[in-house]
Amino acid sequence: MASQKKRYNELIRRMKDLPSLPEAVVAILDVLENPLSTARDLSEALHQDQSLAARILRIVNSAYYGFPREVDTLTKAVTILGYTSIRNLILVTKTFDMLHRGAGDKTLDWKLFWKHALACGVAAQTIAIRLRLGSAEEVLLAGLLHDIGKVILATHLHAEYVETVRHAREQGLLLFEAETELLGATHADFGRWLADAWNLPHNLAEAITYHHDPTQSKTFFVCASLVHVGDIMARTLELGNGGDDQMPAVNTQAWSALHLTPDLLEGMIEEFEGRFEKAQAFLPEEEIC
Amino acid sequence: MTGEAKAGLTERERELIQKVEKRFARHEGDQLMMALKEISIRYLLRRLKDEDG
Repeated sequence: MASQKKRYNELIRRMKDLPSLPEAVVAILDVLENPLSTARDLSEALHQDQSLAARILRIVNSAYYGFPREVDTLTKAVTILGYTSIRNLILVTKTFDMLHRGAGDKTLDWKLFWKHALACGVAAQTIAIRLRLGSAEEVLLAGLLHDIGKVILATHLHAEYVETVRHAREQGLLLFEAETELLGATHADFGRWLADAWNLPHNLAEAITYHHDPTQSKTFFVCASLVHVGDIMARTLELGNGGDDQMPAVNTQAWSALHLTPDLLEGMIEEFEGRFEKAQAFLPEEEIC
Repeated sequence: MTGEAKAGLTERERELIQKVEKRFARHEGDQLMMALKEISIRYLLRRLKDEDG
């Protein structure tokens, strides 16, 4: 255990060149944190990052939201969706932009990887809506980002991670099992480290950290459980691939706490498929599957 | 899925089921995971049929 911790700390030290959030995004988040700021202030700050502004408008006008009229300005988007939704959209969009495809890395099939992430998010969201649990939108975003630790590992500890993925495939292991063996920590640990470094909301950070063992989440157990089961559902339906070909066990405490049954889950598939189609707008255009 | 049901399957369908069984093999004996395996097989067979038109 002590040697695993040492190995993890050593790997974290080697990741100092991790990109930080761009200044424009930090400025936008500052406006969002200011209780005196207006929708116009936020809209002006958003315009400092044109690609981000365009992405936000594309998402807001997608079938996912299904607004009857086009939302043609950021001021309107902020007024309609509210600060919290816009803040989450910015964080997720920017995280995608900075991390998607692992900057050309080929350790994992990134198209399948993001498809899995989206499927996990939509599955978690579908369960949340059906069972009336938590904020459905935040659950979707948590699912979308649950595996970001894998991107960091692939891009910033490339050689070690190539070896880890190979080890998992050869030995028939789940990736987090192979990571624990070879790296002394899992993608969930590295994801937590990134979430803290980028100041992501606590519920997202907890879902990223505990999506394989939601019972460890003290504050956001329901959100972490939804993402955990969302991951299982995405794997059951084989939508995308998170990097391994094994099924993790369902955490029975999380399953029971959500009052799920196999029949109930199967009965949600049609609803899930409709949502999955509409949620494609959350992915960068080149990753749409 | 019963042996009788499996007998009427195409080669591609049998391959698909084999792949799913391999993915779930580590959970043999776990009732919940076996129920999920059956969901997986039903869904993927349906998807395969849809893809084939």
